[in-house]
Amino acid sequence: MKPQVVELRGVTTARELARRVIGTRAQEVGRLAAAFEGREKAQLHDFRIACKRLRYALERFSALEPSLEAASQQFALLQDALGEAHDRDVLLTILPPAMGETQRRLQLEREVCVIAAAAMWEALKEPAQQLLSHHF
Amino acid sequence: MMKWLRKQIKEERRTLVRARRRFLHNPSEESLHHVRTSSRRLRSLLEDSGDIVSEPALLRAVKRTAKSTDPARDAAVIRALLERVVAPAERTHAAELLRDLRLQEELAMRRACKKLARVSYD
Repeated sequence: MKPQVVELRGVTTARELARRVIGTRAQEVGRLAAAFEGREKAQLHDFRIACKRLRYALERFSALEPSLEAASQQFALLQDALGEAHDRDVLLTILPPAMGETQRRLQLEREVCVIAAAAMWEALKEPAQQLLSHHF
Repeated sequence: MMKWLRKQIKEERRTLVRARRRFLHNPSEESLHHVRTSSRRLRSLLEDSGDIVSEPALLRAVKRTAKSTDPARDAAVIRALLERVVAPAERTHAAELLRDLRLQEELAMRRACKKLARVSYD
């Protein structure tokens, strides 16, 4: 999934640059959060990548605005949970058919990871909305 | 602002070059992880600032870095996960897949070394 272009024409300060970048990346995350409804692996993967982009932007700009650091850590945890689910999705595609018990274990663990990620996202929605509204 | 941005790119590029040097000197899961992390950070910075800072060659090199190291990372992670979750009664069935994954990991690591040695971040 290609990242959305961040409109930066006319930007003159690093703080404004931070606002535009974080606003755009937060918007991407918000748009792709519908992935939690169907819990399909491709949609969850896209959402994870969008979270990763937002997290890197938050980390980078936390030198300018320390209040961003907490959000970046929360997004790192969310991204980790989705990464664990993704790894299980990949292994499930190559698992020999005779390994039914392992398959069930992996499916269960995958569900646990997705549920944990969904709960983290619920808690992060509001801070993400604030980032989108440039309240930092 | 442009000065700040240029400085960020320079620093991220330097971090990636150092990580690549360490990986080529001592290829391991850890040094590979550092190459991948630093390349993702630089890629994110270049993509975020692409509207005003154009570094197409550097962005291509960073994308190539990810592509060259994906197979080694994937094989290592999937192998470790399978070793951890395999049901005791199914160890025999898993053995062949684990052998394949170890082999893939070794080959992919060697390929990553060869490819990364040729990538230029200048």
